Amino acid sequence: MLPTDTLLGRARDQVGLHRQTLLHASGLFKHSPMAKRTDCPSLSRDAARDAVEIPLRCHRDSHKPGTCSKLGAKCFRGRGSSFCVEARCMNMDRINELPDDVLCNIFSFLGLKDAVETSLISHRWRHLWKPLILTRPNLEFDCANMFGAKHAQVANKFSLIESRFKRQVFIRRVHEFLRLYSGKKVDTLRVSFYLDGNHAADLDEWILFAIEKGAQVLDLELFNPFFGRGYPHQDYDFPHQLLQLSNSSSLKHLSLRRCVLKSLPYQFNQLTTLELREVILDENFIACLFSNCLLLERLTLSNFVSNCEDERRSLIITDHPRLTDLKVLYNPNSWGWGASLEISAANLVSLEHAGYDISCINAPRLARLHLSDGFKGLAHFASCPRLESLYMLMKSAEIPQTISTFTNIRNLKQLSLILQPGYFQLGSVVNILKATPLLEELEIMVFSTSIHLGIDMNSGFPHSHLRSVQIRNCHGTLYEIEFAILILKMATKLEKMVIDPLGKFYKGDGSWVVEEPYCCYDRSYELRNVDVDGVPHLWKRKVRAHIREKLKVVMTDAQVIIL
Amino acid sequence: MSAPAENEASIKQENGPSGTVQEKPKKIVVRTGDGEVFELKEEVAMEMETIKTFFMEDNISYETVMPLTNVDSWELVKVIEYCSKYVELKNKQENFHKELKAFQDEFVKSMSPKTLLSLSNVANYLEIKYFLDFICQAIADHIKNKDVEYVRELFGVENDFTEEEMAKAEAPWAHENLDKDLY
Repeated sequence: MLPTDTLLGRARDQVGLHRQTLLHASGLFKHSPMAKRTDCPSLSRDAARDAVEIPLRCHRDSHKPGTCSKLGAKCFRGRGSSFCVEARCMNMDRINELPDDVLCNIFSFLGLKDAVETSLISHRWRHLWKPLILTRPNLEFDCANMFGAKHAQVANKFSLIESRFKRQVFIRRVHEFLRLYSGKKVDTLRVSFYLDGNHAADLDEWILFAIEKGAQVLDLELFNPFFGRGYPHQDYDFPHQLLQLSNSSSLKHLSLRRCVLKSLPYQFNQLTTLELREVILDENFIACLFSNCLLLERLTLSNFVSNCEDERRSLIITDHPRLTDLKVLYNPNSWGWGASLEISAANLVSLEHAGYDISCINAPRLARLHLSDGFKGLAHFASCPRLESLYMLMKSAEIPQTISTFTNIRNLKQLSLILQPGYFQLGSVVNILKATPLLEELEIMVFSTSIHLGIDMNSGFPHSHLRSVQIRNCHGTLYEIEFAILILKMATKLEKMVIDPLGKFYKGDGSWVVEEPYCCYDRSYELRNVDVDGVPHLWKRKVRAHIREKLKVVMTDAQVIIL
Repeated sequence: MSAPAENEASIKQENGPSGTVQEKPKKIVVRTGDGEVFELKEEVAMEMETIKTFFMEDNISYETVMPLTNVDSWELVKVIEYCSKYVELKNKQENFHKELKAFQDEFVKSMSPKTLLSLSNVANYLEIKYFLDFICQAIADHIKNKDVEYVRELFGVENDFTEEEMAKAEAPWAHENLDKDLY
């Protein structure tokens, strides 16, 4: 018997009172079975143990009675805080009676395999996963869904992927699921796994299944692991011919990685988004695309391979009234680098580009631009007066010419500059600021240790729009600090300056690179010793404090954050 | 029963059939299962379908104290916290998703799974769809990496299968494990 002055003892005493409360309550509401309960199970040992384990977090403990305006409620103090404990004791028993629809709701957020596993819990749970899972409109078949959430990361372990069995298991499970599937409509089909042309029959079947059920989004990501050992890899042919036999399609979003796309079925004329990554295309594909998909708004062509002989053919994207978002990216390490690009799109708003020689740009409404090869292409965009956001790489030698281009892009609000390795004069950035008086956000990433300021510390001028400045991949050299001081003095409306020893490099198409060699290139010897989080030891020990000291003397309203 | 304290107990609502316009924000009073009385702002209370139906269906005056027998005071406190924040962010409109996500992470950070389970029950009872979805997602995230035994214990469910029944699960791949197939 526990003494009543312990928490547990008091809890047991209060339970009796609670029973009374319940019996008098009127059960007005239809919901859970609790409304009809008139008995209060005695405090079981387990519940008691749980009651003590849960921390007593009741807002009443922390404020005066009668006022709780923060929570939008007023709370009237009743009994003492022991009340809290008995409240929790009551709940423990209630959990066993979670109604079916709440359980189903929980399962609907689980991946397929995890949801199916709930059928093993008990008899009552055996079929609970079915109604919502088997009619789920978004079908996602990937490692996490087919093998369980704990295996979601197994995709990175190449040695496991080599096993033939794993692919067979994946395919078998998808087939079983689709066999049981009873939903009338599919919204999304996403297949993301190590499959290829050897499994064409299965892939075709799944794609057809989804399209015939009215899918609007189709995402096929075929990975290429390190197979080695004579695995007979075959490219997967997207089944355009098969699809042409079916009815019209409501597909709006198509995303393919590592397939062969000979042509798009004509039914796909409702497409608004098309993303092709590492896809083998026919030489006339682009032309056909635009004549068929008149509603296309977003197009991503990343590392595609043309099956025509001449790899350096030009890519011409023209006369497409609805196109607003275009990404054409070519990995600098892959062949085909240097093909020429010609764009003419009256409504294009956003462009990401890497690896092409730009021959002509006609995009008067362009607002956002990402250039991976810097200045070479920038001059072409001088005719884009609405440009607001620019991300580009820059070599120091290019700066003087760049500045005159900038003068034409007067509406620039956001600028991210990656200053490439090599001798660099930070002062040129100040000159760029002169050419862009409306700039609000500036981000520079410093790659080189051989930088100098290159201008007089007094040659600053007031810049009344700059609100936020970020200096990434900072080494803490004298010139970087002088540059920061200069900016702090110049930018009269500056709100925030962030100085970051790390940097991320945006490659385009949503992929960022954090690791070496990009970010560590040319780092001085002392800064090469890094901590677990990637920040150099020296930065943490000395450099950070040093910068803080130096910047403290500057009079500024801005908040200076040194990471 | 606890007595309503202080001056707030006597809030009289001029809520006559002619719909008199008034300056004071309306409040709704509820009593939880453990006897605590709470006063809610009308816009927060109306997020809960159960409360909304109770007052709207039969045009019950806001003077009535609505009993919420299946809700405990600590649960209601949490619900009010979430709903008030949600309504506030909705009215503000900018950065809705980002701020909501930050708030959600903070909200579940220190909650035990059992707490989440009771909250899901309450959310269901009070019929707050977005809150229920949020709590269920949090619970699903918690159990997705756990094995069958853990889930049984968490939900307080007994294993009432016999050996053979286990083997004959309807979807055979329920208990097939990756490791078993692989090696």
